[in-house]
Amino acid sequence: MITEAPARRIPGLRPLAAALAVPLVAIGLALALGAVAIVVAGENVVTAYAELVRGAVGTPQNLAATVVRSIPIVVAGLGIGLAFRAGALNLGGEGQMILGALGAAVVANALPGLPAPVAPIVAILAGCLAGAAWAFLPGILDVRLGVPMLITTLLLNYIGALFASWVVTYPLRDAVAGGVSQTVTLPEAAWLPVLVPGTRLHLGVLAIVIVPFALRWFLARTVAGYEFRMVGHNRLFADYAGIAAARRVLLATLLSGAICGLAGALVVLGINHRYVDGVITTAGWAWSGFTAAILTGADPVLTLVAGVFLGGLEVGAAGMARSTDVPLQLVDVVQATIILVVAIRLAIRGGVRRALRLD
Amino acid sequence: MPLTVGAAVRAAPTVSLTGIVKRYGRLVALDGVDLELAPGRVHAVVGENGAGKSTLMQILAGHVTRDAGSIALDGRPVAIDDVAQAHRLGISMVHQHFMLFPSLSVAENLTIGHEPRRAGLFDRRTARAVVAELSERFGLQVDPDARVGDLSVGALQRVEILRALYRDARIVILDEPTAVLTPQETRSLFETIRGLAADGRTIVFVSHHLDEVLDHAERVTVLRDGRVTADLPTAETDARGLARAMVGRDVVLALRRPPAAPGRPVLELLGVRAAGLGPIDLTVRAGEIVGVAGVAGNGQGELADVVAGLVPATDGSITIDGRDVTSASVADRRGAGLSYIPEDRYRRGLAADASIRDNLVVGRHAGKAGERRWQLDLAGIARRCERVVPAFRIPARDLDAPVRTLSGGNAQRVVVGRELADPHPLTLAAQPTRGIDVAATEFVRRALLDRRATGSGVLLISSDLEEIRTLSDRIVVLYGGRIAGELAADEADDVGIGLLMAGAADRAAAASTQAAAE
Repeated sequence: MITEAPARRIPGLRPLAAALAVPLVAIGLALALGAVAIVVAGENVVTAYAELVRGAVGTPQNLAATVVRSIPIVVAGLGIGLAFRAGALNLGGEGQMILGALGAAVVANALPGLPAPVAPIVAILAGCLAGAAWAFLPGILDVRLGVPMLITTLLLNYIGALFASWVVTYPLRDAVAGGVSQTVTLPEAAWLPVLVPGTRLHLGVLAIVIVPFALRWFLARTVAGYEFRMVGHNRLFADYAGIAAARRVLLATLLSGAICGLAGALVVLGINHRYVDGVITTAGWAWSGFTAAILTGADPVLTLVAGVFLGGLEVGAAGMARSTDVPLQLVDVVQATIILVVAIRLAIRGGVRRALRLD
Repeated sequence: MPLTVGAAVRAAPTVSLTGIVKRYGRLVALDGVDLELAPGRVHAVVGENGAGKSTLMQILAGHVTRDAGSIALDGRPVAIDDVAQAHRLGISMVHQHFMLFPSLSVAENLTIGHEPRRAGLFDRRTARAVVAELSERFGLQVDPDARVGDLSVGALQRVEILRALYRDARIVILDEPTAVLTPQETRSLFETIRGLAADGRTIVFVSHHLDEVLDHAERVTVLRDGRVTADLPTAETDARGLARAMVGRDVVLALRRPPAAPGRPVLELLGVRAAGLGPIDLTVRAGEIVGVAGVAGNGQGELADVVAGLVPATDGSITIDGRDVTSASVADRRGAGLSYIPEDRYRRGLAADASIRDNLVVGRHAGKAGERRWQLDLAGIARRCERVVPAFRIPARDLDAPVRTLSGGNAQRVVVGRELADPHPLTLAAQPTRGIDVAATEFVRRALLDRRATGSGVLLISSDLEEIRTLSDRIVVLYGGRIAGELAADEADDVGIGLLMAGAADRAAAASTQAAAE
């Protein structure tokens, strides 16, 4: 029997430790670089980061704000990550979120008579459907004609944003809102109820409690989830094994769009209670979600952790910017560094593998 | 500058590599290897996959830098840190995958980097003359004006060798030079190698074929896990001895093949055409192995794809075990009784980053053939792994580890185990032992023979003639996408197969060409 010489085996880090190594290194480096930025801004690093932590989790209100901020980030990250797991490069999370938000608002306003438990559910389903619909075109173009989804989804973000902007500026504009492009306020029955009085923590938090674990179960335990993963690892392999790879990619794209649509619906139903022009793009939820997904190799539960971390960073930085001279843009420095570290790590891994294949 | 054709060749120096170490991360590819190359001799380096052969050759040729150890020519230490330094020292490598510019002519490819110039411009006439002269002197026939992209594999190799000679290489390294050649081309390659050695040059070649090594090399070095396990004159060893040094135990090289008892047809191709293929008529019966020989690129890949359902047949019909599957999906063909060991395990046959477990169940993950479960049957998957892992000796301590942590031969055991674990009427095996070591090769070949013994039909596509002849009951030869001829196993010899591979229209023509040659 042939066994490998011990020296030739790549050392067996435990899977969890291995999965956490990259994110922790990335976050550590990002915070270190952030510290440099803080020094450049003329502040004390310890004070600034202490203010950041306090802003994120220091009081019940702050903690609730962090969770509320994290909900759309985590859900969008889960949607984007699901597509990644099936090898579908959906960069259109933002457009799908916008359509989901708009769809939820439009349907909730169109059906004002629905009772409280039903109205938000119907609106959420509408948001999911709208998000999936926005993902359908790039999905089918990729699968049938080989038009790279990476490009089409990215460009459809602009089209989606402008479309939604037009909808709330002209046909569905709230006439009494003055200069603001937005829909009228949703019927209260469609609002997601606040869970803790005195905070803005709303029922939408259930999404980040349920969806990550549901997706992990789906990927690990169902036939479709298994097929998603195999297609994502190697599409030629999936074809060879009789898995209909093209159909799996399309399905993953639609599900991804639906989950991103859910993220958008939760913004409308939980936070603004109407669709306000630019509400998705300004906050950059989808891109924070994207960061959370690539940081964790699109593992659903780790995406939850990373998403809450990024949400806390954003909320905390706002607090820090209020009480120190460090500008809010520190968040961008930290996020960009995280993406850079992950990208470098992926490039290095590719290079090492090429080197190993020489023999 | 680099060459004066016809000038007396300086004798090659004695090359000594001492204590060579190379690491890739935690992986030790070479662990203190010594190698001495005597001038004017033919030296072979053998070893299993991952033993470090290619790495060692690449270090000598300057493609890879060593982490420790020294290289000396005639006892004088030299630095070889890049390819240019190696060239200056007269060391040149002929690669397994040719590194030539397809759109340029042979003469342009040969002289690239050291072009003859006249008035600062490329002197085409001199280049052609030099190439023609070299080609004649070493009996390496190539047309200096031919576009490299139009050449056959054998001719490409001749161009690569000529390029080394143009640079006046006194030490020529060949990495698995025969892997892509027909028997005739192989024979003429070794004639060339002998000529070069007679000219005072040193030749070192890497090979998986022990017969070649024993017949053509004077000395052989065996590597195992990055260490030298044998270094001796070929006259003092045999295939069994080399195999033992490579594997570390006795290996049975000859397989017993009991007579075939062909039964019902399990694969029938009638007039099948696809891009680059056909028309093909071919039948495989239960209990027989039909070997498909041919020079790479003559329709083998297309034949496998069309049988497996990865590309559609544009004409004709395909039947698997009595069911017409001409327009059936891959999954339906598998349901009809196909198992398939694909040619390229990392491109097609495995998801390298997925776990061993995931790789072992693909195709069966939705339950038994025809079943379409919704949830994975984890208990069933565990039982299947418990059965397949020991039966195919997959050295997996952790089934959740990614397949890429396995060596090439062991990764192939995963593919073979997955495809042969359950009874299927038809097995399609494409290059099932390509690039894997002696022990794994032996194992895979046995598995295919076991398959035949249990009444499966096997369609074996291989560019390894020895493999085809060892395993097959019948042999068909592909040339230009068609079947150039069919031979029964006992009447097939390398000459007959080789002529068909080279494109002789049919067996009669092959026979007459052979007669004319004698």
